[in-house]
Amino acid sequence: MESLYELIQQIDQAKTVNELNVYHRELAYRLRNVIERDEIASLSHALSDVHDTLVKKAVMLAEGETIQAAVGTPPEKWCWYVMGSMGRGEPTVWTDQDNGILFECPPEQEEECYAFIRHLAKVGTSFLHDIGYPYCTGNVMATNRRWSQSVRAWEQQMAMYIDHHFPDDIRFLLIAMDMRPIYGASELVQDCKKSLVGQMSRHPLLLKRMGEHVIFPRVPLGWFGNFHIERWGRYSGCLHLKHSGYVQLVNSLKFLSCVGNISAMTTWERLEHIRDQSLLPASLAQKVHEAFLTCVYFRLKYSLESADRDYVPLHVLDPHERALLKKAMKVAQMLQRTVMRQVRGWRDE
Amino acid sequence: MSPKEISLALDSLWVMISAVLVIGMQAGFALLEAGSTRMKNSGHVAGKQILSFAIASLAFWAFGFAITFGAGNSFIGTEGWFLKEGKGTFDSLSWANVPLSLKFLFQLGFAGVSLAIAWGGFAERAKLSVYFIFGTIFTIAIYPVIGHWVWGGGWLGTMGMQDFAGSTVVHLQGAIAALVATILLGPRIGKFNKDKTPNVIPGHNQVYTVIGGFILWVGWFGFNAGSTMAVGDGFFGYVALTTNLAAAAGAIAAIITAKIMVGKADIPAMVNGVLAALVAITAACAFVEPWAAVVIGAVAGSFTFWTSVYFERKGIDDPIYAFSVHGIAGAIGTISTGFFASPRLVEITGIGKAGLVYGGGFHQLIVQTVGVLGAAAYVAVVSFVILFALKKTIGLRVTAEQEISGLDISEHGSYGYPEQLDPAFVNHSKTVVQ
Repeated sequence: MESLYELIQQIDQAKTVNELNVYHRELAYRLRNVIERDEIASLSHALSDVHDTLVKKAVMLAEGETIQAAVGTPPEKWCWYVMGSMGRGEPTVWTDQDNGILFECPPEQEEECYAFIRHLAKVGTSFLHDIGYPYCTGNVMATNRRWSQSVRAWEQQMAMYIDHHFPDDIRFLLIAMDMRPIYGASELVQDCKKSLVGQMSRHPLLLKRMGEHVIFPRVPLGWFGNFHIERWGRYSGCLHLKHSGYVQLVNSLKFLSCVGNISAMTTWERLEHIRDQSLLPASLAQKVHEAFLTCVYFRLKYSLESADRDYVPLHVLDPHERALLKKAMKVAQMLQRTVMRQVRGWRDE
Repeated sequence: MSPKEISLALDSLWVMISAVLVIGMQAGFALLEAGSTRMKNSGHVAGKQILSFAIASLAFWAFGFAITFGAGNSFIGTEGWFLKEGKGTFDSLSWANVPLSLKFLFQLGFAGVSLAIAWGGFAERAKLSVYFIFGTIFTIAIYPVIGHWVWGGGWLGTMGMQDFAGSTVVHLQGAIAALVATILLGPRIGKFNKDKTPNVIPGHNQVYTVIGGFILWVGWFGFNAGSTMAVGDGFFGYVALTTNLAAAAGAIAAIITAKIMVGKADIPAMVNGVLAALVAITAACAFVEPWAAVVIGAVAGSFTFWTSVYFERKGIDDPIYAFSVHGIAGAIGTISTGFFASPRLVEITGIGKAGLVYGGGFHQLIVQTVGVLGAAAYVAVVSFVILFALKKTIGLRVTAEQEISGLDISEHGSYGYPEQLDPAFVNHSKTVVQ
């Protein structure tokens, strides 16, 4: 664990993207020696801190270059934020980019400020790519205007998603719920997120739609506890680790956070607040905590060993690992059923 | 009319209706197979069903029927070429009180179905010429031999093998030929990756697959119930009942098995479950009680889904799972009477002995197993010899370019779906839209 914090100190001293790339590659080597199921929570926090430092450093370098390029006008306040697993504080080593920028400036300067932000986003995402964070295939990146705009425009857009609540709107809202500030005026992101979750929690029909949304994908476990492995394609015979309990736990907890108006940043914090508000029975909350640790452990462990990070051949898992994962997947099923029962009781109006 | 004449008329009408139902199953196979394969091969896959039945009709008339049912020895019939009837020539079918022409027509339907099953293993990559040659040889030298062993007075029939309508004679035979073909042909281009993992090659029309399956289900009433070849005692109704119960159980068992195994309530799996159950009950329909029909159908429907996944993982590209659906289920159905043949029904049919469950001991089980193994071995060896010889001489498979272009255009010169595939028509429809 200490070696990860040493790495953070080294990253802090880095001055170029190349140096950051070297440190990023070193992560996997350092983690391989220390990864253990019992230590996974603190390990995951440490890993998240390393990524945060890398991203922060990359954005600082991008900011310098943008100012030097003298493109547009720097906004009075702006903040680079991350989403996805990095936003939730549980990234793997080879996580891709999910990021955005929020800024605040007088309306008459918005276009000029946006020019600055656009340049910053282009340089920042490019630096991150060079460091080892692949571009997001779903285009959830600062270069996409959906995720980089003024607070005013962002709020309008989110209000529209809440109002329409079509499946894509719900998907965007679930993505936005993971935003976490990394560099800049963090209060912009914190306030926006707080306001977003607050609005969502006051919209019963949206919550119902969201509940219906998060009960999919189903946990790939058969009625007799058999794993549903990929049948065809190059991953035939593999388990999709992200879909084997992890995503179901994450999304169900996000839904419950909305119900309880919890604007916590990470999944760990969400679960804590959910427990405090008794949104889940204490025993189930404890099981969810354990299951989530297991899922994070498997994702982290196999992301170190394979370039195809989301898939692991079933035969690679030993009997103990299979039993451990199955237990976590069953808890994810229970959690999804809890959500299902909850939304089934709500009226559709 | 005398009671005898009325009986003759009614039995004849029933056999004619049954023959039409069984021959109509060719339409079911055309839809099932075309729906389960790709658009670029659809015309070929469906059209070859007519070619196949035409070949079977002539070859079975000239030689096949005589080898199956003609008087001869324990292995083949040696009399009755071109349906030439002499004294005692077709004694093996004397129990059926209908004219020879109808006996032929009805039995031709069976030979045609067996050949249609075999083609499943050839789908989407075999040369058209192979259909002509193998179709003819299958109808003369393969199908009739096993038919004779079981139904034509041969050694398996003498042992008391119970195969009422042909789980082994019709289905297992076709399936073994399909398996040999699919192994000798090799997988379709793109079916397996370099690391041997399988890819999905989805059929182009699931609705065709379902309708094809349903036509076969209905046709099976002719296949099984029609095999009584008589209406007098109403036993055909009982056979229809067990047939239907098995099919229903197979459908439900297959869709549940698919849901459990892969997490998807797969529609083609359900259709194959129906067919597997029907294949399995074909041998047993006249020998087992309704509850056993449900068990047999459910086991066949469920197990064949598992085997279809298993064989695919083992690198065998059986495009429409012919070996699982007709081979594995055929063996299950044939062997099932060794367990479930009830004394009451054995007495009615007068074939074999009661099964293990009814205290009949292992005798029938052994007879059934010997029948399955003997038939499978003969068909495997002869099919292999013929197909291997064809492979080494004229070749079994079209060229890679032809396969990629599709058999519709490369073997027949026109597409089954020209508006979707033929550049001339695709561009034309775009122009019209503009």
